[in-house]
Amino acid sequence: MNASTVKLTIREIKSSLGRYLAIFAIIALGAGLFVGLRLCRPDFLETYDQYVHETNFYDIRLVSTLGLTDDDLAAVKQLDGVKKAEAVVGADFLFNTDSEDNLIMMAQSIPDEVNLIDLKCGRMPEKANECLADPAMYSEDDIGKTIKLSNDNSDQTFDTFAYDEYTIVGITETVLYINLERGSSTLGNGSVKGYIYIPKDGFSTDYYTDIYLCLDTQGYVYSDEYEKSVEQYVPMLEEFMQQRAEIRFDSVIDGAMSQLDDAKKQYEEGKAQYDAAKAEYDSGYAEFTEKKKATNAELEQARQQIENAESALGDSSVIDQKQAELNAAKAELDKGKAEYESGLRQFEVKERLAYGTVNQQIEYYENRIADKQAQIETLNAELIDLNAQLEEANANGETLKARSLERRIRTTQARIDSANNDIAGYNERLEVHRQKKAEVDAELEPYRQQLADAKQQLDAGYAQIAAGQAELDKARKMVKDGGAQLEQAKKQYEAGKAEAEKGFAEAEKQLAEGKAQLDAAKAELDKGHEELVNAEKQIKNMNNADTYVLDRDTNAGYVCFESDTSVVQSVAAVFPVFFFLVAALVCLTTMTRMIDDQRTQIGIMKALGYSSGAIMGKYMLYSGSATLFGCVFGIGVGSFAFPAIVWFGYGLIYNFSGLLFTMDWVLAGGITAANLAVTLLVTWYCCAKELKCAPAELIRPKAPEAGKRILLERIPDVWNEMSFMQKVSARNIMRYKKRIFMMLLGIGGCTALVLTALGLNDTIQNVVQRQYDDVVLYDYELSLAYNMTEQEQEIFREDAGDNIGNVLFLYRGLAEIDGGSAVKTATLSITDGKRLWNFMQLEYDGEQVEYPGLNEAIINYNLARQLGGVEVGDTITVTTSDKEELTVKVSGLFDNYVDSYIFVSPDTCQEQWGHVPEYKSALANAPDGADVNECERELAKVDGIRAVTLSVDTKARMSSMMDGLLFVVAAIILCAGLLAFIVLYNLTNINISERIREIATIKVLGFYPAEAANYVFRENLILTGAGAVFGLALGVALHAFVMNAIKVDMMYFKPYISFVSFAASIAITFIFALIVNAIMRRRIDNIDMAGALKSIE
Amino acid sequence: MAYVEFENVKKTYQMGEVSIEALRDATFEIEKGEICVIVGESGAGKTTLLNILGGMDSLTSGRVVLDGEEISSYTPRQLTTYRRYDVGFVFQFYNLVQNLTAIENVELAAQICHDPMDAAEVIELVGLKDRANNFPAQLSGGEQQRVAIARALAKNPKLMLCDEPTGALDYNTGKAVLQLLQDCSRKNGMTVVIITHNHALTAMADRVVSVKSGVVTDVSINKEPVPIENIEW
Repeated sequence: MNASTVKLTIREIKSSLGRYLAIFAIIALGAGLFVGLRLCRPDFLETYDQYVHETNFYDIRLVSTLGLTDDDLAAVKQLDGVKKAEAVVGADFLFNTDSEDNLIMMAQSIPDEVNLIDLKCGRMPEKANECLADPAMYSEDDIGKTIKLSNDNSDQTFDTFAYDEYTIVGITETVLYINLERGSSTLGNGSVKGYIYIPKDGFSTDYYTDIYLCLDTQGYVYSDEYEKSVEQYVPMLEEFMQQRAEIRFDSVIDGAMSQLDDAKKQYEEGKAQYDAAKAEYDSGYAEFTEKKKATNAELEQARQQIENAESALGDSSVIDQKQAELNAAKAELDKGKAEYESGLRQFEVKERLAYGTVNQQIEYYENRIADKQAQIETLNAELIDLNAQLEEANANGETLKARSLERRIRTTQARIDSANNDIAGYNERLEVHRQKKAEVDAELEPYRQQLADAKQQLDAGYAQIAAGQAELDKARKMVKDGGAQLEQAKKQYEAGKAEAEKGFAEAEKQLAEGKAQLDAAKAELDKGHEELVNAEKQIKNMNNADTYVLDRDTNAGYVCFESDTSVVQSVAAVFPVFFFLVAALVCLTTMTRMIDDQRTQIGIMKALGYSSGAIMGKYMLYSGSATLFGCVFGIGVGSFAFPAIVWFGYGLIYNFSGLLFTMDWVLAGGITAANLAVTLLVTWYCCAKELKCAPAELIRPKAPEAGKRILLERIPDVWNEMSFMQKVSARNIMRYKKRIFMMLLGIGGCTALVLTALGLNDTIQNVVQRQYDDVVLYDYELSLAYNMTEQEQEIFREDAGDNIGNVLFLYRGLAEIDGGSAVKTATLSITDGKRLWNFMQLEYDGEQVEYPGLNEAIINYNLARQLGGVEVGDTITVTTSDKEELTVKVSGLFDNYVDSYIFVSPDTCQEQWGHVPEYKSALANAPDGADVNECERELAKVDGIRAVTLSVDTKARMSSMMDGLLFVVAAIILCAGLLAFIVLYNLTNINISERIREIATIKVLGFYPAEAANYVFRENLILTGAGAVFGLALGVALHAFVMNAIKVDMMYFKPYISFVSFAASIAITFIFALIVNAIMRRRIDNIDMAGALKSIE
Repeated sequence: MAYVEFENVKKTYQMGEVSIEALRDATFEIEKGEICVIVGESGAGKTTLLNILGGMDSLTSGRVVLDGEEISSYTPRQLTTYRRYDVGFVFQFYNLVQNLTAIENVELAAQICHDPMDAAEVIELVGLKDRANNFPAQLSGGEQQRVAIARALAKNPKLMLCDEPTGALDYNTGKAVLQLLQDCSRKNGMTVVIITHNHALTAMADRVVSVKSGVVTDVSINKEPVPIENIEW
């Protein structure tokens, strides 16, 4: 290869830059996609490996059911090969969010050495009640908020934590949970929502739950080398754990025993206290009873007294009777008195008549005598006075006066004498009258006597009545006074009684309270006693600790990452091969065309005496350089771009970022070499074919491909109906067999790639949808605490009430299935088949599968495939986790998309094992129309349910896992589209180059630009359509092939392409065809008619 | 006014920095129904002249008029329409569409015209009635050129332009083709322009335009054109 060859080649490249770039691009795309997708998994694993190293991800996790201690930690550190060891505490608790209650949070103590956390924002906790939160649940905005243990947590949970709430101070990611899988818990519904990291002091436990170890290991994550190097430690660690477990068991037993003793002592003390209190109460009660009796007696006595007094007081009716009697007597007396009074009046009348005027006479005379005697008295006084005055006057010599006085004495004397005379007269008469009166008196005397007697009698009667009345009044007063007294006594009695009763009630209440307290104390004591008994029993029954030596395969993130990257690997393994093939094909046609075009030039060179090698050198250099540059560029870009794109998708699921790029030089070199080999071979082949001809032959233009009648012309009905231009197009299409083949294969290949990529998307999407819409009909999978009897099942159903629809109790557990050539793990279900159909739809190609009979089993198709193509009628061996074996004949296969399942009837177990395993799982449906989430919350509270797994949750989890894959698909769709574009461009370009004279001719004939373009593109579009249709068929086959090649244990990708994908792949092909046509239109417009027609080629 | 007029036509090609004058001050006329032979050495500019007249190329300056229409002022679209309806081409290498039979090649041109001649008739006219359904590859050079002439004729053009129509043909076949062209002109009154480097052909022309180094050196009228069979070269 000399300088002129190079110069010639460069000139050639310049003049046909479009073609050169097409080869370059197509090679770059093919190689880039191939290497890029292949590098995805190595890059991801490298990144993960780095992350695992940086964070000291554990190699082995030690768990003991009795917990682990500092001594255990110290001991494990002494073991050979243990590089790092750290003990941590982990516990789950229930918490509430704004929208949901009793979600499960997993708390772990912050590690210092192993499984280092990766603080995203905020700061590390400084206090024991601070925490770092899960970025899947919390963001930077949540810093400062608190996470609080819900009140529904058990006492045990509350005891485990030092605080009831923890303040978020930061957000952290952890190598333990690299995806959204958070594992399960025995609390609540069993599905852990998130994690928090809290300082060790945030827990109040005195033991650790896990010890994580970093061992001296070799090799990459997931590599056999690594797994072997970890495996070698396992037996030693298992033995170690066994020993430690014994020590731990003893110490725990000792601790428990001493605790038990303490508790016993405490119980005894409590019991003694109770007894004392009881005695006190009893004596108090007796006292009260006695006192009550006494008081009651006293009261009774008082009551008796009052009663007696009441009866003694008698009846006031007696008094009333006596009063009546008295009144009657008085009435009688009154009657007598009236008689007496009338008698008296009669007597008085008689008396008056009898006395007449006698009494008046007597009175008159007596009065006259009295008057006369009064006169005499006065006159006597006057005489005395006058005598006194006479003496004085005589003494004094007053003779005159004495005379007058004397005269006057005489007159006065005279007057006295006359008065005496009168009196005597009067007396006489008086006497007469008196006489008369005495006579009457005597006459009246008997009557008077009679009246006096009557009067005396009456007076005596009255006096008697008055005495009786007085006596009655006295009696009445006495009764009245006695009543008031009695009343007062009664009042006093009532008050006393009420007071006594009140006292009793109070005392009784106090007593009752005392009793209640005592009873409570007793109950507590009894409970304590029972607990003590239980604890004692527990301690007696306490098993040696179960210990677990777990490797990374028990970490969901670790396992998921492997399976997810395996899917990428599977896709990357088969898909780019087709790109490569299409690229090679396009390269072949391009080079063939180019050498055909330059046939004359080759002839001239040959005629001039250039060696074949020199001539070939140009083309070799042309295609070789395009390929080499394409490979270098494609691999260079692709090895970064594709892993980055796919990583972006997985970044949505996996939380560690910062993809590390690797380069597989062998792969890159291999691909470049393969590409170069193909293109150079193609070039060599084309050149060699031409160079075999004599120069003269080459210089002469190659006879244009002769026109031919096409098959269609033999069908006049169709042919004659076609317009002239249609006929032309039809004839043109059929003219170049090679071109048809190339177009069909090129365009078809692109359509097929696009369809496969879209179908890949459909299939992936479909997996989850089919599994959870078509196969899994149950809403919940329940994990039960114990094997329920029929009666218990009935009670359970009642407890669950409205929150549950149909329930199927069954055995569910992982089992190893040995199909002869391979062993795989699957979920073994043992249940009565009749009711299974309500919960799982087991079909194979749309036909329901018969439930297995005695010694039969049905397995899903994917499992059969993984077992090395197990078919119906083959015998497989099932080993349960309890190491029990079943040998069964496969009676049917069914479609299942996620995980693997095997169903066996209980009869088979009965026959082979002699017993049916415990049904500790159940499948259940929510009632029609009920909210499954609501029901789930209620169900979680039902007795006997350990955990509830919601099918919709699982579905959502699976869906999000699938989303990562979609980026792979997107990358492939993009590349398929690009490839389609380049292929179409290249083919159209070749097509136009080949027909440049023809196009020039029709242009000269006066075809308008649009007509001229249509003349070409009509054929192009028809071929594109045919190619697309062919591509669909090819795509379906390719898709089936690719899907079949993707082997992931967990999932079965049943090939499925949606109608939309068919339509879209055709649409995409046509859109690209139209874009290419638009670009090419300019080329057609610019064809130099004169130039094209003048030259012969 | 003549049927075709060239007035001071100038054509300059720009090849990078170099500008090549292919034609300058070309002035001549052609009357309707004439056979005009444009003769000159290779590279004299006769093809440029034909391209301009055929509406395949633009000119740098000057004026070209056909039947009163100034072609030189046409837009590309108008030029296409001009080619479509008014001009028939016959090329040295026939430029038949290989994938179409003889009659279909004629139809290809005819079906885009306003008032085409019947394809079968034209094929008969050029004497290929029996070969009408043959593909170009099945025809001899002379027959292919006849098909090309038929294709040009079928459009019923105002002007027929023939670029070295006998260039790829042997002597006798060439003569036959020329005869056909002469017949067309004489019988149908078609204006035919033939470009050739062969001076012998000037004898059959009504008008001869000589071109040399891009300049029209001479325009002569041949009062008595010689029948083709009498021409020897």
